[in-house]
Amino acid sequence: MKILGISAFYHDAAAALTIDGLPVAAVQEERLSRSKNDPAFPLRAITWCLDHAALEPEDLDAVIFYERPALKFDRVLMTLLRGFPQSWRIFPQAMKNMVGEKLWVRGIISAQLGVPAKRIHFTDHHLSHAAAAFLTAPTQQAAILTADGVGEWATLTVGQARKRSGGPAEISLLREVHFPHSLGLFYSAFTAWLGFPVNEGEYKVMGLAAYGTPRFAGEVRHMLHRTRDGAFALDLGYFDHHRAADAAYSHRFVELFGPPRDRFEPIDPTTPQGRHYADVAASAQCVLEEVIVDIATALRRETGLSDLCLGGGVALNGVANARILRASSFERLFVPPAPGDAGCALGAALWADRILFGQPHRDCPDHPFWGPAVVPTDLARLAAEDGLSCERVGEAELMDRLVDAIGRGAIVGWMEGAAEFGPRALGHRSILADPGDAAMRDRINRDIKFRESFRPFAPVVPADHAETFFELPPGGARLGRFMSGVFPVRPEWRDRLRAVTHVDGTARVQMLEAAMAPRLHALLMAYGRRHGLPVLLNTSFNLAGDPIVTSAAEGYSTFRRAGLDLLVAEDLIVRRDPARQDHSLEAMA
Amino acid sequence: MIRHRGRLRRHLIIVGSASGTIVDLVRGLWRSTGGRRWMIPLVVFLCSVGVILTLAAGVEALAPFIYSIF
Repeated sequence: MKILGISAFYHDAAAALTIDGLPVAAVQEERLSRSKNDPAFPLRAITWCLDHAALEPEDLDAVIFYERPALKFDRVLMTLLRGFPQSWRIFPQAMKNMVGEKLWVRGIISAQLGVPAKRIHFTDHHLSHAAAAFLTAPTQQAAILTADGVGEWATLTVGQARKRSGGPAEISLLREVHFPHSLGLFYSAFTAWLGFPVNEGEYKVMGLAAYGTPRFAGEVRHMLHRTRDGAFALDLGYFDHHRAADAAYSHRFVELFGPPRDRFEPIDPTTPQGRHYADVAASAQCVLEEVIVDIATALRRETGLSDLCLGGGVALNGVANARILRASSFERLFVPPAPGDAGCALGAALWADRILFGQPHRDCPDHPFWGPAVVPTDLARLAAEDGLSCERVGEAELMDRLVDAIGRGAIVGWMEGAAEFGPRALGHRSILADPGDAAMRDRINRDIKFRESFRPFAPVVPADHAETFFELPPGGARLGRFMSGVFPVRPEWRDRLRAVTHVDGTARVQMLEAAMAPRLHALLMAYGRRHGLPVLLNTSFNLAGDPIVTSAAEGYSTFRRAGLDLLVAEDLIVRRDPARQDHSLEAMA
Repeated sequence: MIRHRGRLRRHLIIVGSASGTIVDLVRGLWRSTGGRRWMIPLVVFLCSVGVILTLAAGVEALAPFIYSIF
């Protein structure tokens, strides 16, 4: 069966195509529209997926949308009515949003693709998350935990799932927590108060938390308290997400923690004000971890299963994931490369195949590379037009040159094969650099990524060498496969891994297996042979505010604007001409 | 290759499929255990407004007449 999965209209729209139960293409709309977290109907992504598989829309057996718009409308309407009279100001805007577009998803898909309405299906938001986590994971039976801001009504679900060999899979969600009580929205309130954009800046809160101590944990536990049934509830007096469309926290929240940070004011964790922000972030992080670990521990006890599949935006919190693995007694934790809403496009398509249409389960390839491939000849043409040195070199020589250049402090833009599906650069669209030089971290933060100085960079290491450098709990290697866990760097290596060791001695490490990205693995091994440790700094290939690059042209543009030293696309290598760049800058001045 | 349809045709398809969505919504509220049947007239009214707005967005000649209602 040919099934197209779509997620859209809230944030991070995406499309994914499965044929005979296996993914063949998946891409976020932002990667093609170049608009970060693009929520629009993903027509570009759908077009690319269909073209990639040489299909016409009429060839599709089904199109599945990742949530139920009618249920979402029900929740929005009920919330507005319950919030009356405070909600009357946002009522017209919210209704215009829903009944002006988002409610008519079946019609929009039918109108845009020309697919008959009877072939268009819907699934539950959290079932899409669960399917994305479970049906792509190499496990036969697992407990399921999904948590995000909000789907239709659910904000957190627990359940269990099973794949029968040669038969369809089963996913049963046992219980759910309903809006407005939400771990994702709880964390987003702190994100907003700290002056970061909601749905985008949550990982900055996680990074900032390492600088603080959770001295407000008691107060935060009062805001997010446990209920007798093992779930949790928010004290809604501190929050505004259930009353207003554009507010996350209330006056009471501000009375407790002080005025929110001006988003244009830099955070310096060495100042008293900066420490206060870091302490609040640490307190929110601490309480989030406590709650989710408790829920996971209870789920382990209830199901007796040794594997846990984790989905939803909260699963992007690598510190919490590592704590779940350490403390909940699950032996393995599976987090997909795209646990957020974009991944729901793939989850929905797989759910339709296995569960709606009852097709037998087939193991999905265990990698995230489902996007458009880089075309090196495009890069050669662009570099030639600019008169830059561009060479096609053999594998051995390429590795040799890169190892040498990175060792001398060069920063390399690395593009290879198909782009990653999900928010992380996992070895096909990366910026690579020396992990041992703290000045390198500052240079990349300041000059290349233009981002806050407190944010850490991640290392990439061959999976079979990870234990040498990082303290991994049992099952940690799996969590590190898609950079989903934060682990301590072994004290004896922290000095040599300064650029990738966060202030609390941890790192969000990617543990790379040769089969997943053989060329990057070979580069790591060559770097290790020459410099003594097979670890590189690996950050996403983009500038602040841009999506990760997709095509050679976007990579080249970022290479020129960011002042990278080398750009590699497959076997093609482009070198920056510093004299020429300086000359151009002088001319511009 | 996805065939591009004109705006009018796209909006007419959306309007044409709206009845199914409204019926689903009404059926869901009718069967709900929380005693929310009272919401059905409100939902039908809001959805009808949505359909009219969608029609106005697609058929420019109708837009001034429709917007004047609001």
